[in-house]
Amino acid sequence: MLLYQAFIIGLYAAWGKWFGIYGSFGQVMPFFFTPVLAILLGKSPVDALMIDAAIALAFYGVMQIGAVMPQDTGFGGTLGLGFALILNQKPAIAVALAVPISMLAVVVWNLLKFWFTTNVEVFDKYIDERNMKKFNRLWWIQMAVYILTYFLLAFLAVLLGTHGIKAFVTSIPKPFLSGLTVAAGMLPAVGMGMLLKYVWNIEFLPFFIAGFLLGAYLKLPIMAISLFGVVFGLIMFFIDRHINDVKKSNQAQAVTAGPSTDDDEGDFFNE
Amino acid sequence: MNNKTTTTKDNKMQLSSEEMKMTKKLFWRNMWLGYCMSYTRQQGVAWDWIHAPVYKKIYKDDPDKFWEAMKRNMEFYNTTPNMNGIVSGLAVSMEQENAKAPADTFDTAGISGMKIGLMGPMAGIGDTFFAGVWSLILTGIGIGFAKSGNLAVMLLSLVGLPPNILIRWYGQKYSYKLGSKYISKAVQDGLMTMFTRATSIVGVTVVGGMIASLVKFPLVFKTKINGTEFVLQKVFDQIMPGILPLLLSVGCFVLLRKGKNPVLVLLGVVALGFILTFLGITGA
Repeated sequence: MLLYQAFIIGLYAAWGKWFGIYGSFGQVMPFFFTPVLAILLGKSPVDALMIDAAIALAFYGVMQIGAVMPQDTGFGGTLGLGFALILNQKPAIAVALAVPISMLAVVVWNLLKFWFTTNVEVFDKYIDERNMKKFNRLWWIQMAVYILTYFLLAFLAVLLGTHGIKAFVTSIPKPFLSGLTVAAGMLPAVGMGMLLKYVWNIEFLPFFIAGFLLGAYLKLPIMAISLFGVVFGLIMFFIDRHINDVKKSNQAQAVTAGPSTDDDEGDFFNE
Repeated sequence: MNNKTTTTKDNKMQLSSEEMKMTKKLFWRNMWLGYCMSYTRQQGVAWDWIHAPVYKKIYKDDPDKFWEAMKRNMEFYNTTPNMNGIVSGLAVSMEQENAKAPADTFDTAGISGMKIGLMGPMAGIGDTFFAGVWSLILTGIGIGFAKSGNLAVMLLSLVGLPPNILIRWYGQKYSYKLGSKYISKAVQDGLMTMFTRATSIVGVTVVGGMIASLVKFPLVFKTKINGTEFVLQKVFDQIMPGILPLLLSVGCFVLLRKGKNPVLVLLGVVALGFILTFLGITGA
């Protein structure tokens, strides 16, 4: 039974690594495959969604921009969800497992990326040799190693780690568990901080405050706040465009007023 | 005037069956851009693997030019994969011009220049929109459904997918057909910056709302002072609801902005949760 479960979670981890990148589809399909995993493991899809919601919340806002990956949220989330489902545990336990695993898994990604980097020279060499066959072969070897690494990691982690984790989880004292729940509830703050750091500009302060007040006082759902955000964005877009147009027409006037600098006759006659 | 431009645009948008085949092939291969990134070239190798069959078709009579293009395109490249169609379509149309041009009349440095010039603005808008806003809103709404175990959350994907697929397909098709004029004009006119700013504003507003609704700081501390009950949570709620989640998030933001390691900030928040719970101030 454990062998089967380990195999399924291994496949799920590999699938996540594949689908997270292919066409960036994973990014825009949150929770889509969670119920599928639960059914394959013979567990309740409803429970799985509740557990995954807690994990998603703890990782909320942690985004992977370009080369920087602070946490491997995909792999950590898969194992947290997998262990919690197999051991019939609460969402808080899943978070407690997912967060440290996500931090450890970054090491694996860094190693893989290091290997891809050493391969760049080999790709260069194949191009110099004009050998498309070898070029493609190395590409597919990289892909296979990438997918297999995560399959094996998840498979072995479940196969060899479940007993240890079960012992650990059942020995957690009660106050520790409530500390864990509180900490998990606070974690989205880190992700929010990361997002703000990425988009921040002091001119956006009013919109940040407005968003917070809409949520805190009016208790509006996320969808409504997003739509208000779109309104704010459009207002600023049109203001920016207007300023830009004014600037450009000022420049054009300066050009037409200046001596013999315009060689664009069409513009001149349009004035 | 307006009418005339739209009709010429329509004529221009007609793809021959050969071009259509190439456009489709490129569309599917562009799905692979994010794999196997390296520290030195990021998506450079993936770009070459994606475009190899297309280059092969373009330079079918000239293996020298094909391998020259392969070597040239192995350069550093990094952008948001969702937005790559735009750069890819443009690059292919430029390679075709290079193939048609008589020897040494087309400066291939222009292709590299275009790629380097566009990958930044495209990543700016792409990361802000897809990673920062779109995925954030989808996940936020998804968490709301999933928390209560509602399977309807699976339908969210139907809403989530279209912008990703449309920008990939039309971005690539239009930039291939309309050429560099339009896109570099959009970048030069500052249109891209305006879009990125507007998208960032949506992001900032949503983050503000998310802090109020998703970050939890549950106070349980209460005591009796001279017989009247003193509930800490009520005191803070009277100042402003959600003030503690706000302070916590802004605190994280300030630390991260000062360049503190995200892992340390994360561990700090976890420690804070545990300590306050052990002290009996917060609780689940």
